[in-house]
Amino acid sequence: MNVIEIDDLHFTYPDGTRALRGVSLSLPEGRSLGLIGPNGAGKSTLLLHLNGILSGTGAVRFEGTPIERCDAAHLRAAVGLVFEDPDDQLFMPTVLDDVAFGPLNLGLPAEQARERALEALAAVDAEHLRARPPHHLSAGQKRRVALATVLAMQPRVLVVDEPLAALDPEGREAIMHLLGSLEMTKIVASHDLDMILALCDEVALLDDGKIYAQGDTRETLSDEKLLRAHGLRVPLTLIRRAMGNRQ
Amino acid sequence: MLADLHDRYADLNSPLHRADARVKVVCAAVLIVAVLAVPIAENWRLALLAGLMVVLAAASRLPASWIGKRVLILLPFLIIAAVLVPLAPVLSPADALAVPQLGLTLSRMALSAYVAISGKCLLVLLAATLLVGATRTVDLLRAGQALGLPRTITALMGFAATYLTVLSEEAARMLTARDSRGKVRGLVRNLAVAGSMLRALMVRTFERGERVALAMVSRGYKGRMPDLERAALPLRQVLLGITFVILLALLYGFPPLS
Repeated sequence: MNVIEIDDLHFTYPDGTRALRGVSLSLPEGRSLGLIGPNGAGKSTLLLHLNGILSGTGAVRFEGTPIERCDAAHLRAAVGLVFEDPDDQLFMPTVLDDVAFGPLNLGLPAEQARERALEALAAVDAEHLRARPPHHLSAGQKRRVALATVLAMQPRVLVVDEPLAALDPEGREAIMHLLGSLEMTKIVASHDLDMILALCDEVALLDDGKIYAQGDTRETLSDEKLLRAHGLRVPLTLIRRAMGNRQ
Repeated sequence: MLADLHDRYADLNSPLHRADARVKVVCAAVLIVAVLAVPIAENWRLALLAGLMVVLAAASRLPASWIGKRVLILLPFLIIAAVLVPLAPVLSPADALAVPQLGLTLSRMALSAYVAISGKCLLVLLAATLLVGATRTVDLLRAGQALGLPRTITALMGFAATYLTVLSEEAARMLTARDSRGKVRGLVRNLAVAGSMLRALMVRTFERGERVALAMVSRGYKGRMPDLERAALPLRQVLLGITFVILLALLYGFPPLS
């Protein structure tokens, strides 16, 4: 069954910018999709349609139900969105408050919300940070806690926007390992094609608000002509493999 | 953190730090009321209260220089007020106080009023400094909420506390970028550049506010800030607060020495 289905989605911002021009894609349950494309392609705009924050023309369905007919609270619990900048996502006085924010909004009693928050923090190896103010954390710690804020809502689909931005190599490895270990339907938007290659079963290439390709990750990311036409490059991992094969 | 404006010494281990924030806020409020309520005719009680504050400051283990810098922001105002005292008219012979060393005759009432106002200002500022220095910002906000401040107010103050640090770091990066591109010459040019930077920072702040709002809505926010329940106030902390208030009452009601 397709968890997410998008048919001919169009979206224009109030200033007239046409961000999405007829996007169509689908994502089966349990699969992970990499959303790739150059800057300004419309990736973040597309992600905001998945939990009903933005609403364009066309159809967006979650488990077969049109988004506009889904209960907003249920939808936002089911489709967890991790934003590109963790400082936008961490706004409560302590880490525990931030991670419990979502479960409390879902109506869970305080004790249950606290337990969920601690479980989510343990899943991202950040339980020891629970009493810290979020703005005192390092970039890598913020990324892990931002992920925990969404995991605490126990989503069916995890949507992550640029998870490795501004991280050092150790931080990148930790986040990649974490994302790889989460067994759930995932959508990852990123410029980091090596990460997409490692984590995602299939990719969709978005440019100028349109989908230009959707298919197997390795196959799509090996198409140098396609990638170059849309401001991207073949991941280093594939280049090294190709060089290794030639030797 | 490049510009951590809060909680620099809030994690020290002292009797003041260990006290519950709710008790500290109430005791600070009672102390401030007690200071402000001292009649001008009994200015000497301010000395007793000052003695208590010095003991609290020592118990807090906050650096004296840190406390001093914050209290001494009053200095310019105290100096200006001191200059006005000799200008106050002497109302009667009984009101006159001769100061032969300065060649002045001061009004006793004016001098008493100056001592009262300046002493009270210093003590109130010292009380606030000790409270803020020995308590984490998040605990102060929770204490305020527990004591009846509306949830919206404490939430807004919490956002301000969080994002003041984020924005100050952003401003610092902008200043570094400006300085990396050579020295800006001239006052007018400097003001123009500062104005542009401020404008850019305001726009970025507004945009960040919009993104934060989206992040809140994405996690189910419906207009009311949720809160994890907090622990009940231990009896020991209640007794500590009561003891402090009794001590204040004793100092306040201490009979005159003469």
